[in-house]
Amino acid sequence: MRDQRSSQGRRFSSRKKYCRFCAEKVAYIDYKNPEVLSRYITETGKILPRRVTGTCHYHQRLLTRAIKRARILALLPFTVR
Amino acid sequence: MELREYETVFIIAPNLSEEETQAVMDRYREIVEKNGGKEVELEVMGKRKLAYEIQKFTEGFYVILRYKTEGGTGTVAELERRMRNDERVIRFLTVRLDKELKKARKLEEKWRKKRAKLEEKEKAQEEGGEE
Repeated sequence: MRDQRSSQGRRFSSRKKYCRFCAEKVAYIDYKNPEVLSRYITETGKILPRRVTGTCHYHQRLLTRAIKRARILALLPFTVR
Repeated sequence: MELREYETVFIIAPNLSEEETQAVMDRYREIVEKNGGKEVELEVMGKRKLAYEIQKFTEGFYVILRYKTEGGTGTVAELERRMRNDERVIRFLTVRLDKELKKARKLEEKWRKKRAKLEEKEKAQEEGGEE
């Protein structure tokens, strides 16, 4: 029943987005782990917005901070080309 | 005063020999210990590629230094001052961890409680269904 309701309001998307960090109960996002962080940046190095990834507000804040730190340590790029 | 928890990640130039690299790590460990750092821990992340060039280097040797220190004793300031003046260290970043970890623990506690509550509810429902 719930699936029906959510699909009605969505014109294109098929699946409801959810916060991966909440689902996996991540309380702290480590900036020293570029493998995880790189999933949340574009090919050009920009941080993906919440509306694209579905990350909740709280985790997006942790994520942004972690990505910015990782950039300083050259674990992630500031820009690509 | 309460102890503050810090983590300094620094990158050593890749053109140094193994002994020289080890010497740099030992040196900074000593500096932290001499300047009021307690429970000093050193973790080697090892050599890895840099996401962008730093001083023409394309890779670097990553090391993590974890320590606790009292506020206002200048431990971090002294450590960073030394690193800035050391061309063997091509990049460093100090992060204060205690506040962030405290928040994380609080969140975990919240989740744990929520979960316990949920389980209790389920149990109650199961018992109710038997009747």
